[in-house]
Amino acid sequence: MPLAEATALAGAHLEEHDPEADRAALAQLAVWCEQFSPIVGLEDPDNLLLDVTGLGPLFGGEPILAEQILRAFHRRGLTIQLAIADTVGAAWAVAHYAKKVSYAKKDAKQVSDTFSVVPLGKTEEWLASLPIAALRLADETIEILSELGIQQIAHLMALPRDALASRFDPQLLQRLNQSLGLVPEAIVSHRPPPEFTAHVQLEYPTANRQALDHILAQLMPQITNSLFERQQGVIQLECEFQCEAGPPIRIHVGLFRASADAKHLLELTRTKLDHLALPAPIIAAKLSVLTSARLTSWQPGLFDDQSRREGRHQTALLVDRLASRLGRQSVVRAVPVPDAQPEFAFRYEPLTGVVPKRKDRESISLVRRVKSTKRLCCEIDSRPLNRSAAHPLPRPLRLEPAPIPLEVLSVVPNGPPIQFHWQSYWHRIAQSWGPERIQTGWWRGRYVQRDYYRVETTAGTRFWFFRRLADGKWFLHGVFD
Amino acid sequence: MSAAYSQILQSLQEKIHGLESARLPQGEFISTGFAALDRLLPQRGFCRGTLVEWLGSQGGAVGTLAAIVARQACRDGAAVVIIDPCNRRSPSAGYCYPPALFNLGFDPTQIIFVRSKNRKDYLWALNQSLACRGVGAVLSWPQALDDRAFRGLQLAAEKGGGLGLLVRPLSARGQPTWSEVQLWVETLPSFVRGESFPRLNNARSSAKGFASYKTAASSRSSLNQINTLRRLRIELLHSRGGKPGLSVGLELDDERGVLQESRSLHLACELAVAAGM
Repeated sequence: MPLAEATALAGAHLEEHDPEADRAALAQLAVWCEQFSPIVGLEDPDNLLLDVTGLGPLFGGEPILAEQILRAFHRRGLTIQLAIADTVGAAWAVAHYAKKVSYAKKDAKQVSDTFSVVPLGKTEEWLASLPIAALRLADETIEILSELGIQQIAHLMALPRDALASRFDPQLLQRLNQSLGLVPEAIVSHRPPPEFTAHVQLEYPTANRQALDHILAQLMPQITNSLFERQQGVIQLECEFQCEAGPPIRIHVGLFRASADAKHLLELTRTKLDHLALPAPIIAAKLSVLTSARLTSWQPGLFDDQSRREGRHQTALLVDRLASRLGRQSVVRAVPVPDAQPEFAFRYEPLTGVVPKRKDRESISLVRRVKSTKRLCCEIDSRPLNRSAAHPLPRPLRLEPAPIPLEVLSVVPNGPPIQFHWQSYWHRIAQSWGPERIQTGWWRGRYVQRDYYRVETTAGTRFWFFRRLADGKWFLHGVFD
Repeated sequence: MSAAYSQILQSLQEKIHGLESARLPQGEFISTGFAALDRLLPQRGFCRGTLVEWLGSQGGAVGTLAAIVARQACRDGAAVVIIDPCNRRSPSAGYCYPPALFNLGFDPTQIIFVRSKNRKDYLWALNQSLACRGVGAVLSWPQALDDRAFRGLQLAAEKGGGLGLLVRPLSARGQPTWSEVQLWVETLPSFVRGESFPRLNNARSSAKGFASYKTAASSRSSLNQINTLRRLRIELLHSRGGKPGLSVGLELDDERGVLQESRSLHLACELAVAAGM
């Protein structure tokens, strides 16, 4: 009905819809809600997501936490619908659509506030009876599903997953998985994370190296001080120089261990700067932290071994320095990979520029969640040496980057070799061990079928040969150096 | 007269010993882990903060021995830096194969691999790694070392306190060296020619992207077991305060990274050891 009629009938006070003001008010509420949770996310138009992982015991239990929140909002004059669940999706669904648990306040006032707490592990049960609109799907998807007769989430969960994936929008499956907790969903905090940057504009363009050093030396403490206050350290740093003419020059520095030491960072940046050719004089310089991580702090024990800690610190500095000059891919660690083909039985991983994962880190993404499993820490730690049973058969210490074809004489056509020609000599073979057949599956692309032999020459040197089964050609693959 | 003569000799010997021992390195001595090899070395072990040169030919067990010593030096968990012998000038230099190192008993998280593109960077990386106090051992294959670079490496090793293992070709023999100990590893043929070629019956390892091996030990005959050991002769070419010329015959078990005394007697070795003691 027209506005004037409505005003006359209901006597209501009407205001124009102002989405900006709505959002601002919601943001204010989010800030106020930080008394209950460290991470508060906004969702238009009227949803607030709070991460209460592990906060239940602080308040004496999750129902008590929910009551407190309700009371606080009530004091502000706001009515809310509240739900606590394992996942963001489930909490949203229950808050919007579940049949409410009636709640009687102590002073017996009639309130329409209600809350629900989904017990741990009961997410599926609670979700099953809710309508599919509770999954935050697009309208078209909801229409299609209702046309097909799927009204409740239980019906959806009964369908085979690959059918859902192939027939519907991928968003459907993702929302379902998010609600059930199979796919993590993070609450994006309404406050952006602080950025650590420092920049300076030069009055006169300069190409003098010493001047640039001096500028960097002034900028670096600005960043490291603000980082140190927050107990954060740099993992990846970017240094950008604006030139008078041409594109800006960028230097990336990656570290092995988070550091807020201005001197160390300056040294690494200077090493990279030395190798740089400046095409034009510099007019501005900017330092920004791309990745940061918590500074590892050690609690010195009473009888701790100082030298071990100092040694690890020095090793971290060494890795940073090497990677800074030689390149990130040049300072690596090898990780064994279960693969039959010798060239792929391991993988190199760079050591710098990677945020180390703590051993038992609780994932911050969901409202309430079971603790995540322990992850590997990529620090060099001092575990006692034990022999790994990776390969019961010996492997050469030196492997050629590509197998070298050889001229080989063998007595029997498919048998072991007795002479081979390498580095302009014919070597006679005294002993050989093998064959060791290594085949890889045809579905891996390059089909590898090799018979490996370990041979020892009359001089006592040992090599690793293989014969390619496809054409019978012999190759030298490794040297038992 | 003869008493005075022997007295003079003795005092001269003491003076020489005093002069030589004044130049002995200060530092902790770590055993190689194998008594046979220890007997070769002065003070029965390698000194931390020094360089050790290993000379040998390609395919001889030089690198493996150096790796075993590095493993021994870093038993307390210190980092091992391996500076790959990748060299653009000789493309068939090959690189250090990590699974072989894992077989020798190294912890994958303990090793740092460093690759460099040219000789200058190689020497710089070697210098930096030796000078770092947290690194227990550095294994490298330096190409051409001039006197100045070599001296720089020795000073870096003193500063860092780790063990610097340099694997070099035989051509470096006889050249002036700044290393504390220089060892020559010579491979000997495992058995006398004329016998039939022994062969192992290994299980076929047809893989579905993953190898499944039968333990080869179960199907090996005792004759083969003896012959899979590599026979080596290690001679001490140079050492400060030691007696060069000593040598020892050893057998290396490739698969377990274990050294043991040679079964056959090398008479010359025994005599040399007895004379040197």
